[in-house]
Amino acid sequence: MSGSVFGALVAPLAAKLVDWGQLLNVVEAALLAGVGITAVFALVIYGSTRAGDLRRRAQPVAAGLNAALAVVSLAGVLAAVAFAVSVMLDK
Amino acid sequence: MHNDVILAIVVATALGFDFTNGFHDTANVVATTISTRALAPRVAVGLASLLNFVGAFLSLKVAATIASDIVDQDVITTTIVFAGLVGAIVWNLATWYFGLPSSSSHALVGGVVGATFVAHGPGAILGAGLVSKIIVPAVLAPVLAFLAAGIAILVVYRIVGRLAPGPVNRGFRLGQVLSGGLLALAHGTNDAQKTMGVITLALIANGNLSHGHGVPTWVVIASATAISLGTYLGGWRIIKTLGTRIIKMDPAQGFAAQSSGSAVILAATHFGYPLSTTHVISGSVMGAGAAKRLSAVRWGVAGNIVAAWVLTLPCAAIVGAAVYGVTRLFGTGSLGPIVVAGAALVLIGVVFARRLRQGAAITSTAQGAS
Repeated sequence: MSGSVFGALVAPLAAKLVDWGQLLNVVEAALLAGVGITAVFALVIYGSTRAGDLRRRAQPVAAGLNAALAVVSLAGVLAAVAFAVSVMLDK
Repeated sequence: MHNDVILAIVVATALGFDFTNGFHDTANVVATTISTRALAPRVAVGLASLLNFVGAFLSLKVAATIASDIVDQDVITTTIVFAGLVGAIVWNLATWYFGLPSSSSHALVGGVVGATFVAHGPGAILGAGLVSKIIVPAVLAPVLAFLAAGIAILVVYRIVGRLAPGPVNRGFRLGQVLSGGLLALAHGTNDAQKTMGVITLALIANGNLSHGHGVPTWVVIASATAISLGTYLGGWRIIKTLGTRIIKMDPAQGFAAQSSGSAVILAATHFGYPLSTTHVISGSVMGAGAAKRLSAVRWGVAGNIVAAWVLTLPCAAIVGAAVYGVTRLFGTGSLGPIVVAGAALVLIGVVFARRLRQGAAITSTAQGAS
């Protein structure tokens, strides 16, 4: 019964009142940016820490690759932050 | 003349609300940074204050929502706006007094809706806007922040889990300067705009602006300054609640919570949703804690916060309605707002005096945590 009441009354009303498409955009953007920035920053830390370890073990090629990973990831984080601010400037 | 006096009181009250918003809410922004010792408390608060000021200039979409999508602009008077503001301030003070991070945004909306309801009945409330722009996002935002932070911290542990904790913690502490700054910026964009929206609504109600008019520049500058000052001067009690009472965080969790919170607030602000930044950061802090270990979250404290969230809209609405009723006892002139504003100032003074007398230990504990 409660399911049919929801189907008959609440769902159409909610669909009419709420812009679900726009809310979905918020959800997608927030999840992508929140998880993405954190994950890419973790790669910065991973790359820089591993690069230091490998340099101490005299493995310059692997150290260089990890350092490159750290640099590219850091650039990614900074670009994401700059993009977020530029989106905000779109008044 | 009467109307201009009321308008002046409304603007002063709105800026006072903005100040308490900074005092009450913005501490949420720096709580994780301080808790993980990424920055010393005074540096974190100073940085947040500066970035809140800057953030207030970045967007005006939330201000437009507050000014036009919640109540009918045609029937709004400056007295209604005043009553709504006082309702929000009283609720903010009550939750600040008890150290609960409730939502200033919902208090503001609740206060204005309550006063409008008493003045003109339910027809003056824009139900669609209220549901679509306030209530649904209010439910969605903390859940979204919880999920984003939870997934983010799981990914982080997957990536750096086998590294030595020393460099990882140092790296994430450094990262928290960036994520904390972004969160402060996001907070400034969303929260300062609510005051801008209310002042704009009052200016329209008083006939100073036409319907649909944008936010005047002086309103933007005044609101940015008020929230920035509030941020700098206050909020240690909330810092303690969010920073240490919900969960004990490591720097990676702090970074995940702040980045996810920023992402949710910025995305919502871009689409004009006046989110509760308190809800968002509380949700992301809990998400970052629960993903690591469910028992890491102090669910009793979290439950109190949820209860404050649920109560905020109706309680602020009731106070806003009551304030409107009391104001109208003195007629339609400026006497009512003057008397109520005076009474509110006395109440604020008493509450602050009591809290400052009892607050020394809490302040020193929060500072000691750095």
